[in-house]
This record gives sequence, C-alpha cells and structure tokens, in this order.
Amino acid sequence: MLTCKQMDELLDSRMGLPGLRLPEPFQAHLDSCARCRHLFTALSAETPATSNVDNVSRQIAARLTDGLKPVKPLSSTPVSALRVITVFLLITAALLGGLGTAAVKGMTSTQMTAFLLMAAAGVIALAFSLSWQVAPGARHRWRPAFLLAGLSFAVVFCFLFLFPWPETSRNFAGGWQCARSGVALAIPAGLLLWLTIRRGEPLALPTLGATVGGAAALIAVLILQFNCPKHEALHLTLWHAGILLVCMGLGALVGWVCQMWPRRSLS
Amino acid sequence: MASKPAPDSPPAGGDTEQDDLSTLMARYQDADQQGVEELVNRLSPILYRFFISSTRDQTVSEDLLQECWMRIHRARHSFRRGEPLLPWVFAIARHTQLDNYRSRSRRRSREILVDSLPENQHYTMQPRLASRENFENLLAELPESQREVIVMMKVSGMTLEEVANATSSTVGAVKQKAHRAYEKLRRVLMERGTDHR
Repeated sequence: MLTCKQMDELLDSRMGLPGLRLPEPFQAHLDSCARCRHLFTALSAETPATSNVDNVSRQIAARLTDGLKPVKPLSSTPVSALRVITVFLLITAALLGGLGTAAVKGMTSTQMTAFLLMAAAGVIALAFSLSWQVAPGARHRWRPAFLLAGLSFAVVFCFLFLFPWPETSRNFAGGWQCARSGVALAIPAGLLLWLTIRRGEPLALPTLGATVGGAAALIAVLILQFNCPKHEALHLTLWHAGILLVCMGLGALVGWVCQMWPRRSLS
Repeated sequence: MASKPAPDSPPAGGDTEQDDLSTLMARYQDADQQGVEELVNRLSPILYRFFISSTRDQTVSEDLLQECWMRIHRARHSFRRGEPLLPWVFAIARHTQLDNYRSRSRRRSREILVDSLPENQHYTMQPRLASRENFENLLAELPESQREVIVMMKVSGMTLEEVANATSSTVGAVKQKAHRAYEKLRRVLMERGTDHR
C-alpha cells in the first residue's frame, strides 16, 4: 500500500500534467485516501485559460518588436569563468610585476604550495560563481554565501596552521598599513573584475558585489603575501585575511545601494 | 514498504516544450519578430498566472506582466542558448515582483506620513475574484514562498530543479516547500469537504 508521502513524490514530478492516468497503486491509494484524492484532483485539474491576457500580450509583442535589434547572447559558463580567471591572473601579474615579490623567500615550500593551491581553488570557484550569478535562473553548483564563507575559512585556516605564531603582539601600526594597502589594491581590482562581468544580468546585486569583493580581496591577499615580510599567523589572519571580510562587506554594500536605486523602467 | 511504481509518462515541463521555448528565445535574440510574438503568446498566460496568484489583482498583475516583459527584453542577451528557458524567465519574473513589493513598501511608508487614503492601496482582493472558487483562491491559503513553488510547478510545469534555479534555492529546499504546501492544501480541502475542480 502506498503512503501519502509517495503521492507527494508523484506530484513533484507530474503536477503540471492535466488529465494524467495514474498507475494502479497510486489509483488504489487515491480511492482509499480522501485527503490525497482532494489534493490530486485540485492539482491535476486543468487551469482555465486567462481570457484577458491576449490583449495585453498583443500590446507587449508590439512594443517589443518595435525597433527590435539582434543581441549577442552571453558566453557559456566555462567561457565566462575563463574570462574572469584570465583577468584575475593579469591583474595579479601586473601588480606583482610592479610591486615585486620580495617576501617570497620568507615562506617555506609547504606554505607556498598550500597558499597557492588555496588561492587557485578560490579563484576558480569564484569565477564560476560569478558567471552563474550574471545569468538569471542559472544552476549554482555551490551557493555564493557558502563559497564566500568557505573561502574566508580556508584563508584563515591556511594562515593559522601553516605560519608560526608571533613571540610578541606589537606592530599594530604595521598591520594597519597592510590592511589599508590591501583594500587600496582590491578596489581597482574589483572594478576591473566588475567590468569583465558587467554584460550579464545579475538579479541579486549584494551577493554579486560580495563575490566580486571576495575575488578582488583574494588578489590583494596574494600581493600582500608576496610583499609583506611579516609571515606570522596572527598578523596574517588579522590584517591580511581581514581584507577579505572588509572587501566582501564593501562589495555587498555597493550592490545593495545599486539594488535600492530606482531602476529605469521602460513601461 | 512498497516500491514506487515507475512513471509511465514524461515528467512535467517536458524537454520538447522546453526546447521549443529555448528555440523561440534564440529567435528573439536574433531579432525575429515572429519568434517574439510566439514567445510572448506562449509565456504571457503562465507569467500572468504567476503574478495573479500572489497579487490577486488583475490590474497589478497586468502591470507586472508588462514590466516583466520589459525586463526580459533588456536582459535577453543574458539567456545562454541551449539552457532551459523557464528558470531564466521565472527568475526575472520573481525579481520583478520583489522590486514591486519593495517600491510599494517605500511608497506606502511615504503615504502613511502624509495620511494617504487607504483605497489607493493595491492588492486588495477584488470582489469578483473573491467570490470565485478557483485555483488562485486555493493558493491564497499558502504562504508566498510555498505558493510560488506550486505555481511554477503547476502552471508552467517546471521540475523541482528548474524551480530551484529560478528561485536561487536548492532542490531539497524546494521539495520541502512543495511538500509543506501539499500538506496545507490537504487540510484546506478537507475542511472545505469537497473536491476542487
């Protein structure tokens, strides 16, 4: 004997099909269960056509076809993601070319490998997330919020467990300098990344802003890691990883402001 | 526990239908006028049903439908060819409705400050609609988040995954909302004590 739960599963897959002929076990369940019978009858009944939409549809079609021009569709997800990754690498390479890599010698090969692997995984995930976010209704294989939280956690984890702890807690001013430089690097990087994805149609602007902020902050963290001589867990966690949170917050704020801004309406 | 019998017909929101709509959208992107007209004719009724199920007001729903199409028009380049169209369309429709709620809330807060007249407010149930025992009235018993899931599945025949994409949610979350909605509808229908047709 089937259960009501199994009827729910059937409705999940067949609700839109009016006049559906059910397999015998389902029919038997409906005969014996009034609750399911009422529900199934209501949900499988044909919804009457809406009479007044035809007129509106004609008006809409007339407006849309007036001066209609062809548009170039958005690139596929892998191509869009590849474009973001390329821009990310170009910005990073340009900044490293200008600022140098003086602090690389201060890192062990384990620290370097782990940090670069984490950054590479982060940028790939962020690039795919951005290319999904600019296409409405795209399937997100990972949610942006989880991605940003995971990235922050990975960076903090990397700094806390791979780098030595300081003997003293001085150099507060030095840390502030790192944070300011990092944010200053991240802002133009964020603008360039936004230019890369601006052709899409993002619907959740705060989320998109936070993701762009996260990607830009990752560039800043990379640059600082190769330039800042203080490779101590506390300094890195507080002043370098902190840039991620600041930039994500700034990006989300900018996105929120843009979302609240009244949009141009053609209607 | 009995095993679930295999389905003997294609799932709702069949692939052929989706392919047709995706092809029409591609023609829209190529500025084919006939393609646009056909797409508008096919999508407008389901979009209208989506809007009226939550606004329950014909005028507001028609305005939302027009606004939604203007947004679809502006965003038409962002449809990736070969992907299902309905999640793309409903994601835009959903945000059209959300923005409408936002602007309505802002407007209402200003109206309260100047003691505006209550009859200016939209979304009150019209008597003609209120007296009709129809699908919309049944859906009115559901919370907004459950209602939009049921409308997308029932009216447009979208699958759980497509609804999840359109609502920026997960399949599990959509399924949970749908099952809660079924339970609530069962209770309502039993209270009414009649088959809904």
